[in-house]
Amino acid sequence: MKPQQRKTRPDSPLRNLPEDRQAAIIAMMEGPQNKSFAEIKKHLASDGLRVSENALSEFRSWYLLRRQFKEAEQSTDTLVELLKLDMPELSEEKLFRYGQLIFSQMALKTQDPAVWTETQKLNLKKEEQRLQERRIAILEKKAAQADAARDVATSKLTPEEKEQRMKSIFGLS
Amino acid sequence: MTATEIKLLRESILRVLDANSSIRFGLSAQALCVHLVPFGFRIVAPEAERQLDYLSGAPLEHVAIIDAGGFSPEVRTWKITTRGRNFLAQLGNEQ
Repeated sequence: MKPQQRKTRPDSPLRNLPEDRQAAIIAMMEGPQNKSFAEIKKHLASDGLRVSENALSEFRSWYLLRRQFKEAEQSTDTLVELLKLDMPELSEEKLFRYGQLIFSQMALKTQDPAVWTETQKLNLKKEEQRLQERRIAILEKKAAQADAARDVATSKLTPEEKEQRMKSIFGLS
Repeated sequence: MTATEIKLLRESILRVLDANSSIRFGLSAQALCVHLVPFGFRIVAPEAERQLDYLSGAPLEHVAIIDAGGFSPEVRTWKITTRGRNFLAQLGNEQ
């Protein structure tokens, strides 16, 4: 008997709607209409489109992010075109690389500046943590070397052997 | 992070990449980190890169690195693949 394969069903019906219909649904969620997901769900159901409130929430996140990335791409295209006019000697490969750099920077923008600040703070915190861990590792290594050196110093080895061991402990041999 | 949280993080990474409809340009790990915050994930770029490397590797191949030759690793960028989109579509329908 062949193993039963999971059937891949079509993607979210909201994402497959025409762009103007998607924009109309988003317009219901914001601005003067500012309807709740429950109200929009009811409205869509009356048009024969059955979706959950969770699906509406996910659609909103996806749509807004997509819109932002589209705007970033449009701005990138404009800047790359200007670059091309100003510097016609640039190869397509270089233009693409500049385009990717511009797009990457634009894609960093977020609707909520607090999110950006929070991300940067987190980066700094992680870096501080990494440095702290590095400091601790160095101190631990030094402490271990000191312990080993003390053991050698108090041992019954000959002065030559002690010198050799000490060099080895501190990585001088 | 627990195994469930890592699973959710990977799904969220795919969702952010999926929102990028550009056929040429990819998203950097830094940009991903910023857009993962609304999904409830506060991670730094190296962590995002670790997950992206996992998602781009076999057998998943849900994401792909954009080849923008000459870039340093700091500006590596990623795009979702068709396999990644199919995976998300399947997830969406199971919820």
